[in-house]
Amino acid sequence: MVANGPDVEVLDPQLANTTAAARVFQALFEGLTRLDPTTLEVLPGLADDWQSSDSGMNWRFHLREKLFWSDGTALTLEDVRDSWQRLAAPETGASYADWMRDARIELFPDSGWVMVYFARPMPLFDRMCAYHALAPIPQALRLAVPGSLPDPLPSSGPYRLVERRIRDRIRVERNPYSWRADSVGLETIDFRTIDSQFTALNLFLTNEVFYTPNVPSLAVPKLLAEHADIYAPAPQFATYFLRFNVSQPPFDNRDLRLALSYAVDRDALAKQAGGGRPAAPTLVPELVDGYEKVSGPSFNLELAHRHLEKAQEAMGGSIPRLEYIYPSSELNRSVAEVLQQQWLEALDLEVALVNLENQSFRPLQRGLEYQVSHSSWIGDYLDPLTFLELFHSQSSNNRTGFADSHYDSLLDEATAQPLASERYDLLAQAESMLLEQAVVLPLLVDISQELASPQLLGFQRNAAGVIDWAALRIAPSPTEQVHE
Amino acid sequence: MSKRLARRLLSLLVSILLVHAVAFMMVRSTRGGPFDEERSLSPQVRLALEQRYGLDDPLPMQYLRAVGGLFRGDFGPSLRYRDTQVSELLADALPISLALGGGALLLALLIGIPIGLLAASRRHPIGAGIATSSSTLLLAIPNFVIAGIVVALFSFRLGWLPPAGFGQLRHLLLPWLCLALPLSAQIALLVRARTTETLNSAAVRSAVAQGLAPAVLLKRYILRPSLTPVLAFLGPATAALLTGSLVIEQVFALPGLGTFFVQAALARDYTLALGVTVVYTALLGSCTLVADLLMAKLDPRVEALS
Repeated sequence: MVANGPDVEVLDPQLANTTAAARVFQALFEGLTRLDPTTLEVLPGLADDWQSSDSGMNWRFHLREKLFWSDGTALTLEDVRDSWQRLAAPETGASYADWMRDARIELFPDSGWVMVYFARPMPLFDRMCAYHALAPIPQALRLAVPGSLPDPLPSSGPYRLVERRIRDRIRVERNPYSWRADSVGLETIDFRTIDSQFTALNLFLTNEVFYTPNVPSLAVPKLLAEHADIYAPAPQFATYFLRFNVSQPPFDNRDLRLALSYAVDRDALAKQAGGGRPAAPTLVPELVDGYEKVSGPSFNLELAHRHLEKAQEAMGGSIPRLEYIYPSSELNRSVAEVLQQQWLEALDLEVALVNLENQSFRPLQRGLEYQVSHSSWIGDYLDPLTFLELFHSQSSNNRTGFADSHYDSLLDEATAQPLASERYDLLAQAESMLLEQAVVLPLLVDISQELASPQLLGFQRNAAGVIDWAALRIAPSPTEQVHE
Repeated sequence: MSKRLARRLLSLLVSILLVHAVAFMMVRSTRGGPFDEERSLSPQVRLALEQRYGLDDPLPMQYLRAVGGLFRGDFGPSLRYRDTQVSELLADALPISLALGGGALLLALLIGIPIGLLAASRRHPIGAGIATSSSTLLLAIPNFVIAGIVVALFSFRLGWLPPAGFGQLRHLLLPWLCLALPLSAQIALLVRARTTETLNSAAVRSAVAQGLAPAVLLKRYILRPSLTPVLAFLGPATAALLTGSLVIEQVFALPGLGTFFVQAALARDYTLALGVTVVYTALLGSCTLVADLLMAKLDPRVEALS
């Protein structure tokens, strides 16, 4: 039994994109590749071999022999092709449609290979294939009428669906047709919908669930002090940062952006409002091996004042009223309040805070109808590109108005660069540029807040929330461990 | 009688249509849409989705389509639960909300009426004092605070009941208690007020003088008139239960309607938000109707007046 957080609204790996859904799909649908839960290396999944050429423009994957869906029908190369084509089709309504944009797919049934030709380099495609959006989905789901879910829902992962009760639970059982069925530890898993983190914690502490993805921040100090064996927060590949709207006054003025950036004391912010999250000096969390940390504006009152003076000069003596928007949440509010205080103390600048619910916040940010706004991003795959490509001038996730041809070309060159070290050099240049231009201001690195019972054997914590459900076992007896 | 019933049903139908229209306008005039997610959809994908759900049609046309669906009991597919129809979501959640609300209402009556009678009693002044003050206190505590207390007591201290969950009767006991307690306090105070009044009435005095057995006295002369205000209160009480159940559903992780009510609005799931609003309106309307009918039966004066 697992407390899985918010409800998984749609049981279609191509349509859902929440972390709660990702946990369920890691049990139900296997990609051509998967990620090692300890090292996050790419491991064979449904494919046992793969290669790329032309710096990631072309890929080929070899499907394992004798693969089956959980209803016993064969899982074929056609399933792979048709799933990817469905993902790319706008009618599907998938948020990851652009991953397979312009891809041409060719099958070689005799040898068991599928070839993908992209119009642009996709150097990380093997890693992306571990994500559920690219996992093959069964024909029943591909052909399902919108607004319906096939019953039964054939799956390819170590588990298959038994029951889905909306807002209550998703129950899965061992899939005897999985190629690794023999290594699956748990007979069934219940993914419970638990919105309230307090409720999840209560269930965990009374041994009703073995795992919960996050805990209320009020409980963090006590958990750290008394339950270090079950609560070990670690940095995730996810960052909280600020976006400045550089397309219009006042933040089209770089000095004003720099003044605000230099005036933020991240360490104090992390301490006062972070809830255990460490300060983020950079946009890309320091979790990518071989990617060197770049430097951007960090707390410096003298520089803050100097840039403020320049900005004031450029604006004819006075800074107009400033407004900061953020989506409603406990964490976002405390971060906003600390920033407001820091700017007031350091620069004597009053910044008005505007608290909005998510669905009101997003159109404002997307439509560039803001001055400075709270932001966060969870990396899709362990590579700096997943953060830096946001600010490509063509990216629909840019939301700052920042458009710089040099920045774009650095990213494009990096994508076409086969050697990791050279790629990382180019990407680091791009990140430096982004920070020096103060388009964004990194604030905090997100942390995992998972609680995993000591009874849950085989559980691995990692920076990407990858859980290999097949590897988990429940220790037979000790029920007292949790309470001790 | 049947003519009046027909009139009441008709007016219920009209209120549902009105509420539906207002809800439609409100939900469609708020900023943002169901497909505004953190990861932006490409323009083509967004357009395809809007076309599929008819969100690119003119608003009056969308409204007419929604009204047509309303009469067929078909609210269309949910915009967030993209593989599920709104009517399926409602059909799954409604029985749970009814069980939660119905059980709590029953429990509230079972607790509230005896306590109210005790509070009005002249023979047990201490008991009456305790009953009155504890009711007043309970009335002031919101149900989520009660939830915290009962979970701490029954799940952690005593270990008798699970702190949350759904599927067995024992999962419902604590939620029932949390919803019922504040309501029972209200009922107790109502019963107390009316019973005090009744005890002083000429009818009861003469009945006592005639030497009627206490049981007959209680049943015929005290209980019956004391319950009329309770019945009148049941309509609004149901409203309080339904809106109060929303927090309790969250705390105890129950898959009822309450959570949909809030989340559908926040997520701009237009179809689900409308569906839940209509169901709530119908539920409230029918509860008030039933309470009124019962009251007319119990108290002839009500029937004569209307």
